[in-house]
Amino acid sequence: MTKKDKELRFLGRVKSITGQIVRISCETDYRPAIRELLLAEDDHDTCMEVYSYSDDHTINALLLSPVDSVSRYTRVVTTGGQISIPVGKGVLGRVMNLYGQPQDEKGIIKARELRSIYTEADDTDKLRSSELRIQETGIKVIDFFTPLPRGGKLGIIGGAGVGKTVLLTELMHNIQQEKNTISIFAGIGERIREGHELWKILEDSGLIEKTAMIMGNVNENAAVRFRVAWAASALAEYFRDDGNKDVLFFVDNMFRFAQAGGELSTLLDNIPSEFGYQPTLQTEVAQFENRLKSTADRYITSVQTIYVPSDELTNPVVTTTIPHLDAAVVLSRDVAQEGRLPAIDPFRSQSSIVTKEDLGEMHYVAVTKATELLNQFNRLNRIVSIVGEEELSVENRKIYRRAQQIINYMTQPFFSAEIHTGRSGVFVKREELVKDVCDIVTGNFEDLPPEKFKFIGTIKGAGIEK
Amino acid sequence: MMENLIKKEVGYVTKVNSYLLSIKGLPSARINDIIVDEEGRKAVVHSLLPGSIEALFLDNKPASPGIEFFIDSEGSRIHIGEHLKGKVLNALGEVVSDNGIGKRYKGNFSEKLSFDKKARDIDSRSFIDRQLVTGFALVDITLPIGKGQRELIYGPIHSGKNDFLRDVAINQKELQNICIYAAIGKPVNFTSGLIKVLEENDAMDNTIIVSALSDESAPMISIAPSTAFLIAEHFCNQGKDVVLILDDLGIHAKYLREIALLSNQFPGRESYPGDMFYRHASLMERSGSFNDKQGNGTITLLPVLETDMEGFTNMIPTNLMGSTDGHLLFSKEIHAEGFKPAISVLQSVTRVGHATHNKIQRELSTSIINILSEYPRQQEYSRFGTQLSSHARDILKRGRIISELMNQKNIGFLSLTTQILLLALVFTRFFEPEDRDLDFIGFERENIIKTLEEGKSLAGAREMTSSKDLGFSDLLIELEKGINELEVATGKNKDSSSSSNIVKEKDKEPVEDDKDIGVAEEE
Repeated sequence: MTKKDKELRFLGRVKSITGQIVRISCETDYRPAIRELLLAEDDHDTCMEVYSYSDDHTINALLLSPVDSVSRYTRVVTTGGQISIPVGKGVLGRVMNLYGQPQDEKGIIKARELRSIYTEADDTDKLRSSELRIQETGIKVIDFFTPLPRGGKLGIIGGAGVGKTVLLTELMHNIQQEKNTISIFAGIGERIREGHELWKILEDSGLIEKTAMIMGNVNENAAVRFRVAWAASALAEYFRDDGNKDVLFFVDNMFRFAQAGGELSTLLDNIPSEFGYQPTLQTEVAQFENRLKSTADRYITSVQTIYVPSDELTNPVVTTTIPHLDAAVVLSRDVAQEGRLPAIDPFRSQSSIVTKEDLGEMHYVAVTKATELLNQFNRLNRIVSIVGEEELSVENRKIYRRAQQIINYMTQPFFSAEIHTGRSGVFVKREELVKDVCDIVTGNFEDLPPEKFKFIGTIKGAGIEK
Repeated sequence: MMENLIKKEVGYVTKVNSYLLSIKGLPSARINDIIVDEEGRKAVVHSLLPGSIEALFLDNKPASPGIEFFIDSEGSRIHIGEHLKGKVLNALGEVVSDNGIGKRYKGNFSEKLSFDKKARDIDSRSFIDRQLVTGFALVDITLPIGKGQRELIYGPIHSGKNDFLRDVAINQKELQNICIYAAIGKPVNFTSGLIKVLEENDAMDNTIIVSALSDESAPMISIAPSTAFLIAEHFCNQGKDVVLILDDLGIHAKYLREIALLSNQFPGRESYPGDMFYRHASLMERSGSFNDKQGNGTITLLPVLETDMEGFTNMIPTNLMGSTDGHLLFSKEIHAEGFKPAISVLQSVTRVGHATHNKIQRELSTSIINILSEYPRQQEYSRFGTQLSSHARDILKRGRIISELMNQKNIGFLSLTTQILLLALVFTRFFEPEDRDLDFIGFERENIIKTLEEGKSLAGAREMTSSKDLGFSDLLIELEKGINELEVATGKNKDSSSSSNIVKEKDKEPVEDDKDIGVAEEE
């Protein structure tokens, strides 16, 4: 275990085990602090974490190892420390679990130091922020309608099977890693298959060299999954404050983080809140989100997927997380079924920086005009589905067609989906994107069928001429 | 058996609440240990309390206070090997019926019966890149499943799920994949019917059935999926491709809920235990495609969920969709219209299967899905009785033909090659004549399939279907060479001279329009 070098002290013995909760009776005068890491005396791979006290000598601890690894009367020792992970350059290019153990068969992870996953960063300049810049993602519909500020948070919100993970993978691929920038990926409660695919994609593209992956997939118990978020933020804070790096922080999936918290809460017999979620949902989400803070000197830009159970956007986890986000794209099942990918619904997506000051005159005007067109399209679409496009007035037909062109233009082939679709991915610069949309909006391609704009990069790149 | 017991530790039953036992003693017991009484009846340790332990009794007959239990030091082992093929096991892995077959006994691998084995991590995995053939064109072409994929089989009662699963199980014999069918909490009739069908089709030899009947104790039913996985993992570790069917997880969830509530656990959403998602998701993570260090085997998982609800909003469906790699949605309506498999293509998802397709399959698949996604809308429009554009008429006809060709109600297993050629025909001139529609397929289906499988002029096309780099348009050109032979094979019963003339005139329009809906092509 990570704390082997520290001195282990005998603490007491296990009294009872129900689910993931172990009750330990203290047999010495020492009372460990909350979050202190405990081990089984005869098997140091068996870890427990102090969660609460039910009386002055009985500890409720979370068992982080399999439930059959302890029995009653198992002797427990304390490490005197907390769960710690290696930090430093050595973690880049690596995949690890909550304890900093390698998951990639590349041998032990060499690190400058071990750091507690709960380390609170020095918060003297918590309320100061840095100058706003737009973080280009190369994905047209995001950069155009819901641009992401550098150092901000982007949420990818959607139900099962609408393409959240693919979009996250594409963003990891696309966001150009500038000098002094590293990436951290926190895999929380998702499929091992997806983790494996992402790891291999990052290895193939060489991006893994500047990335640290920390995984707590759904094969891990709730206590482990929940803490992986903490461990990943400790890594991010290290690189921001001590490593002097900008950090791109990817989370897949925020919902599973909250869900793991909920599972623990039920196991601890806490009274559930609405829909059976934990009473502490608000606190838990806020504690995690607030650790991912940019400082005056360094950015943490974060992209988080948020699963929406039953496509219900009023789900408590979703509504609790959204206020923490600077930009949120909502993936829609209807759009996905129409075969438009990424299946982002621009009407329900939002960004706090869609202002003239932040985007510049040209982009801002283009967004306003395009949104107006799409609004009119929605109205016209109902008429068209009944009487047909031919029945529209000439003016309306123009609007209808331009809007269709924009909708199709916003589809995009992805690098990360190449093996599935056989189409090669494209990265589109914001400058060209805004110009293209302006051209469509002003009717420069009036005579072209909207199908021409489907799954292209830039208009120029697709060889479309006026 | 008795020699494996730790005799020095004993526990005796103090409280009995249904199958939940309170036992005093057994100080070194651990959660999930199997404990045994003098008569060999078993229980699983559920939780460890300061003065007692709680255990779930696996036997049907009620226990009574005073019974003595011992820890089975061998941890109750399950013996897995080739000898299990053709047999029916209970949830503890004990053979309950061998139906006179599968008597061969090759080796004897013994594995600790554990109910909470952790799925292997990313360093054991490999990409899913080979297709699991089901024998149904609808699935294999439009919703392909990869070996190691988890595809949820979801739909209401009487929507044809059982038929589909039985056929998939039977078809695995020809493909030499081992099939493990876990019938979880099912009535006796269901399981005996399943065995009968498999035997009649000579497929039992290749199948292992794990049966937890609905009249067994709830704890017995709750452990059935993990036992099925232990067996699947054994064969997977030997490099085999295993298909595991868990039928059904909705029932399984209800038994888990029952046990949780009975043992005083706090109810979560819909009263299921708070860690319901984890229970199923962590189980399903044990399937997948594994790398060479693990023996290159795969476990393809088909978890089943039967529901009366038409919606997706309930807890268990949402959970299962969130932890599988796609779902096949079975529909009562489609089933009632006589289609098999009664899967709604547009509402089903496969997340990884398309990566196992070659270029021809992928382009064919896209072309077909394009038509099928427009087909229902055109059907709606056509009800208004307005004059249809040639494009609309073309979509309607092709949609109709594709649906009918994919309806395998009266035909069995189709090989991938035959499936590809059959559906590719829709994009040739073969179906252009007006009289070649549903009736024509009804009469000539067998002739068409036979010619596609054996016709001399189609040998090139057959070979081409497994090509790595050729595209769909290449296949269509090659397929053209066989059209004449198909015409001959299907023209026997018809007065061909008169009908072909009419056809030429009437069908000019749709032919010109061909490019509109087109064939998916890669640049």
